[in-house]
Amino acid sequence: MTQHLNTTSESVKTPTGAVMVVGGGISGMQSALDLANSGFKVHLVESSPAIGGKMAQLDKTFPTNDCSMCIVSPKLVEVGRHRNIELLTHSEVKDVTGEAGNFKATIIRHARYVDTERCNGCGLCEITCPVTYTSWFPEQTAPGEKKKKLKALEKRVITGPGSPKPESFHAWTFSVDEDKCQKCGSCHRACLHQAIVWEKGEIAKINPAICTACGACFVACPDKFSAISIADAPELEKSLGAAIVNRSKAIKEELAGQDRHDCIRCGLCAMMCTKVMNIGALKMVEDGIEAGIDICQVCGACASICPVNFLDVPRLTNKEPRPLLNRFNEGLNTRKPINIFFPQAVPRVPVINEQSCVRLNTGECGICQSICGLKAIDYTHTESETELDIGSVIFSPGFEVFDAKKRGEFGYGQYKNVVTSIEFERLLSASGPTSGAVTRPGDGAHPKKIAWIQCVGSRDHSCNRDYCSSVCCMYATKEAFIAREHDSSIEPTIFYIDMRSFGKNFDDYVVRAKEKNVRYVRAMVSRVFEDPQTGNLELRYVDGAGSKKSEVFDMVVLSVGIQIPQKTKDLANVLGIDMDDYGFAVTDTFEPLAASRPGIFVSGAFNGPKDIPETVIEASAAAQAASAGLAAARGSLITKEVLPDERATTPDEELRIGVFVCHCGANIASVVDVAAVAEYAKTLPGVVYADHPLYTCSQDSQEGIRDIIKEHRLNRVAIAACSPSTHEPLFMSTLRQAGINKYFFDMANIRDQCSWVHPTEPALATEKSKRLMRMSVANASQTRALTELEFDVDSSLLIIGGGVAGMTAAVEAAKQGFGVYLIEQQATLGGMAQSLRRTGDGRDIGAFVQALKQQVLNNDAIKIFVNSMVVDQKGFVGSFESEIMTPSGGSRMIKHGAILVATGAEEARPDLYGLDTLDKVMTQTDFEAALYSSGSTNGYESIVMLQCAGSRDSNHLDYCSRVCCNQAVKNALHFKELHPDGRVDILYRDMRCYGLGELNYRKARLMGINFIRFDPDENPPEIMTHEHVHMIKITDPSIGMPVTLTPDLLVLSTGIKPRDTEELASMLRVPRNKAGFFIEAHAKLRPVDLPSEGLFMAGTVHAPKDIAETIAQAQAAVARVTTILSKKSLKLSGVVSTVDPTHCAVCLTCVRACPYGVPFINDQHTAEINPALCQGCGICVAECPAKAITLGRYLDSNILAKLESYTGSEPAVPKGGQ
Amino acid sequence: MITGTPKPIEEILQMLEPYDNIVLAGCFGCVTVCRVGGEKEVEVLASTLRLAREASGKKITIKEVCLERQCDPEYIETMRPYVEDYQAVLSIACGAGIQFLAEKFTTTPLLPGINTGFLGVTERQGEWAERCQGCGDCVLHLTGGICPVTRCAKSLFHGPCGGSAKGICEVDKSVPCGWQLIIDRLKALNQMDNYCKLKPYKGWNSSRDGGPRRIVREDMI
Amino acid sequence: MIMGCLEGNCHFVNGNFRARARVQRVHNILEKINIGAGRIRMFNLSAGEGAKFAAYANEFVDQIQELGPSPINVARKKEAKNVPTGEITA
Repeated sequence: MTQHLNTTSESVKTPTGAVMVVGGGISGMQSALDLANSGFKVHLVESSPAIGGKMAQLDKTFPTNDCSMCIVSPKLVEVGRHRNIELLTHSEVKDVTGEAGNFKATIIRHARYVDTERCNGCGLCEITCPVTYTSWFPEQTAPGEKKKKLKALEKRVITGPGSPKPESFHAWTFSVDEDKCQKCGSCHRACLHQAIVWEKGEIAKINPAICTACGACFVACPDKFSAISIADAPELEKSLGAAIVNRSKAIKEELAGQDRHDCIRCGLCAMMCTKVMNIGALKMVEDGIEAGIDICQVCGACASICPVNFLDVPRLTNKEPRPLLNRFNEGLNTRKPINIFFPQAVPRVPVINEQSCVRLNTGECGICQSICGLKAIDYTHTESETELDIGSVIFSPGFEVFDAKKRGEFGYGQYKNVVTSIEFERLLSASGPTSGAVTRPGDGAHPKKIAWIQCVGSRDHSCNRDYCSSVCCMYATKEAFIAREHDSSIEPTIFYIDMRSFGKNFDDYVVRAKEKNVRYVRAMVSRVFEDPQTGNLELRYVDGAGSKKSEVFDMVVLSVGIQIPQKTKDLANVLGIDMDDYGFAVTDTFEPLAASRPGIFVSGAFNGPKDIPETVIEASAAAQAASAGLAAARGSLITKEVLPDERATTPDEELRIGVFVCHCGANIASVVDVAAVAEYAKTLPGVVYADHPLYTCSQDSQEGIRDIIKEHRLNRVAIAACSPSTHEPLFMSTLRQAGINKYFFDMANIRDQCSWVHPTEPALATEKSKRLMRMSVANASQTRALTELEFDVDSSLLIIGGGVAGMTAAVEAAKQGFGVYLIEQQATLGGMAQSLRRTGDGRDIGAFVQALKQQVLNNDAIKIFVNSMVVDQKGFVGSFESEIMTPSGGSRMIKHGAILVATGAEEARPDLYGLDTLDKVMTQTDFEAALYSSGSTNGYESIVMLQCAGSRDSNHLDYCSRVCCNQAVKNALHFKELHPDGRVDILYRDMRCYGLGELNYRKARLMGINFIRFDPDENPPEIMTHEHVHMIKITDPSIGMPVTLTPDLLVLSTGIKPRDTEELASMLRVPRNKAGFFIEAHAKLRPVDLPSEGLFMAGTVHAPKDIAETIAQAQAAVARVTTILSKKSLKLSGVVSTVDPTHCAVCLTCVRACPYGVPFINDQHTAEINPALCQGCGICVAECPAKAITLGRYLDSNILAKLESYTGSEPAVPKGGQ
Repeated sequence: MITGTPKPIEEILQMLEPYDNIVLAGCFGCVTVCRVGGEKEVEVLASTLRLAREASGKKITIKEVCLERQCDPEYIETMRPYVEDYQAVLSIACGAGIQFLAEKFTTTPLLPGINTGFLGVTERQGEWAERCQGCGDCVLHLTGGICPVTRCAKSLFHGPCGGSAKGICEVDKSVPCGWQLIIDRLKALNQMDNYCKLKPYKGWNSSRDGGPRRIVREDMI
Repeated sequence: MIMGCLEGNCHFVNGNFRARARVQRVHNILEKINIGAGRIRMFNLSAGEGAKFAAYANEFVDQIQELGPSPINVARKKEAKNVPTGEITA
């Protein structure tokens, strides 16, 4: 929250309506989107070349097994395309000066060497670059000084299985330029085939009949003469390097399928080394290739262009080759000095690595620049600085994984088949180094037995990682689960201390994993030994019964913890943010996002270890906190789109279709004959214009298209280019900018579907492109103008539930400038928090709730209805109407634009062990109250706490309530403070003191609080409760002995159960899970949104959570609400279902089939679909037995036109539907 | 609503054997709602028939129409201008509709494309169950709203037969005993006295036993 | 060949289950009219599974090749032979 902003009386200056977000992971992206969608300019600073963060590296996500990249890439695209988010990738924050509301940030923009504006991400530079290693560059001469020619002293001849067999595939033609030849004879001596006729004092002459086109002569001819010229070499006009790469590729294609390792004496290696890299370490000799191993710079270019894999880099040098490891793939494979960070990267623009690029270090090579058709590569880039004026800062720099080498006993770094969990993610990933095949890095074999070792660099005092990383139990379970999905012969075993599956639906996931044969062993592995012969690994551990065990596995995965990188800590110091001993941000429980410096907010893993949904919640919450103080400046720095009027078309208007076939640089055009496709398009019915721009998506092409639409009076456009999912919105907006309806458009993907998948069959790829083009034109001719409904947004928020979540949201929404209706069923505000006393870090909850209540009561923008409930609700996002039943029995209608459900939960009181009948059996909350009521715990000498009393129990609450372990530890510590001689035994199943809660848990153990683990199936405690003294018998697994406890007091951790919301849920038409918690729109990325648009939730109505998490979610909900309420009007997609009432049989099929419950039967006795609620999925269209429903863009006529043009070999006028 | 099921495609193909030029007529009434004879089914069946006939080397031309209702003469008349141009009409309306077409188009053979089922209800999407046999003499007020004629396999009138066991009918294990349902319901309504009020006998002459029935409403003519 | 997202992963909740049911219906029809039920099939995969897509496409092509030309095409070819050229209607 931003109290400090409001209280800064001297700041009369209006705040700056922009926010800087540091870190482009899922946290930073979510913050940026929420802010930019709420009318603030966002500068997103990311040190990597692309946004996406750790989430982009993950394979799947728990507990839904969603593909991580699939769900995050739409976010990447949305951020990349947002007109009010400025992406500053490959950049770092240097300093932030000023104060909350008016900061000035200095950003260092590292040299990228590729122009982000010009580059379109075709990736040709990366494919063409021949360099694969970080070179040992030769010493550089001072500028102006003549370059010294390197001379090899140490030589090694590389020979193959047989002697070299010259082959002249795709031969170039070499000839001697008579004017330049200095008659030295070097070429004659170099030629191994006597193809050069030369006599002393004579001009050399090449005999084409004998020449094998190996280029030895070209290499040998001194640079100063350069008398040998090359002809018939494709791409030579660009550069020699480009020509070499081109020929290498051509020969490789020629030899595809042949596993050759003998030299074919193509000569490309020597030409590359001498003439492109200017090293001259390679020379063709009779038996093979002679390498000057002392002068080789080990760039790897020769080996990468060798068409037959004859050259092995370590053999060519006396130095240690340094492969260029792919950071995104955790170094499991290699990459080029110029590379795109990962295939779905945003921005999809490569960056040149300064350490390894030959050009940047020696001035040679330069192939990438020569082949880039967009002239996007610029070697003269330098680091620069930018200054930003911003109102607040969100710091979400993310985490790194623990360096597993620090736990030497597990052999990471030494044993090749020991990998970290993040490396294993990449091995599982379909786009990873093994394309998703689970193989051992040591030998590529498919492992059968895989072990996961938990808590590597977590819960470990010895290496200053006392905290729990919160996510490892779940990701290990997920990895084991998915590994078995990839290969069902895998036998996964997870070695763990406590199974901390404390989140929503996590326990169910672990149960499913167990059903899928994932084995769990509760033991801490002490050491790993490698069998050097097999690479197998022996794990030694002590099992639950205390006996020493050993087991052999094929592969070991270390579940490495989360930590804050040193670089982040340094930056945090620059920003003046306080951190704890581990580098996590210090924040107040009641202001969980505010860093110690006013105006700076933190979210994500830097604010304590957490999983993705919690990160997303914090990210939205931080966006809210960061913008609350800037509300006055909302909209001041954003750019709005100005559009011309849309030209109305008449139904009988002649079709005038314009076609654009994109080259995509060489991406499409190198395979598909785009000119031929464009010519073909001109023959299609209705097409009046066809062209083939180099880059259809470039800024100037877009402007060009706009002009062409006007000039040729086009009324339909079809574009054959790349993926509609990334580019269709861009092209459609171009249509709109040209004044025609944006739905008069269709797109064919001839890149992904033609050039990328059929690179070796250009003729067929061209034919296929023509067919896709034909289908696209056919579909375009059938398109209809669709209207995008626009309606006004009511700027008030309805909050149901007046607990901490509801009150926090009310206060924050008021700060954002919205009206609030706060509805509470009880007579007083406060909810469950009223029965709590202190937080884990000792903060007074009662005082906080009182203060919050005062803020709510004193705020004119908040209308409070206590003893009231919502009894009816209708409308849709931006325009709801609800009926409130007030205590007088009367009702009131209110209008509002969004709804926040915060009905909360309560402590469960199961009928167990005499709770509520015996005085000395109480819940944790009762006990907490007793601890704060002076003297009421006096006389208790011995206390037993029973965890999971009615939780994780199918007879009571089926789930884990997340907060009880921390609450028990908190209360136990408090009791020990009051009664140092008292005894506390805590009976538990798994101590789920996640995150920094682990610190208190450790403290409790050190203070002598006794923890006894039980398993309801193996050693359930036998509990007999009486009026005065209880008796508990349990076998303590740590000593393997039965113990009897006779406490004066039994404290039950009973868990949290949601309030009865059945009627509310059905009225709001939102789903709840079997426990009664509301189900979010998406478990990972939309944890605050309810599945219906405009409805949100916060607090324990979502799932059990503590007070800081509740406050964060309430703030997050306000951020999400703000993205709607800050708009004057909302525009909906035109692709919605419409019912033809004359055909409707009122059969209810659509009403029943719609997954969103949108269709209804109206008072005209016909089905009606509200376009504001329709999601455009088309399910009703397909199901309607009367064919009375249609979905714009997907009419029968569209689909039939496509199908008919697919089969027709001749362009046919597409017929309409029935 | 009148329900039905599609006839097996083989049977329809056999019927169509002599023809290569037909009208396929659907109905926007009951058969649309129970998803056997609406616009969509007309298109699906027409495509199926075209494919099947073409594959067997004997192409067929099909004109697709969907009448508002096949049980009303005005709607049927809309077909008259072209019906003579075709060799037969395949109808996927209920039996009433098909017959009415046959009556109106005397020179054109009429073929049924569905098997007409019963008067029923939609228990859930895709599942229909019989509720009424149109006996012409309703007693539902005495039987707790559950029809003994329809729900009892034997249409008994005075309680269950000996084949009722644990609430299940002996005819089929998936069929609940109608009389068990009636008695349970009467008990729940506290109307068991109705059980004794039933008529001494049921006059079946208002039902099918009295021959084809006709309703005449003088006030509407 | 019909492609859908993994079951349970439909952006539109149950859309791919609905699609699967309809595919099954067409499957049954093709079987009944001797065109061959193997000519339609639904596959489920995620957007990140390019290799699987290719494998499925190849698998389906193999399946279709094995089935041979569709009876419709056989009939059309036969007809084309019998009818003098120039009279073939599109």
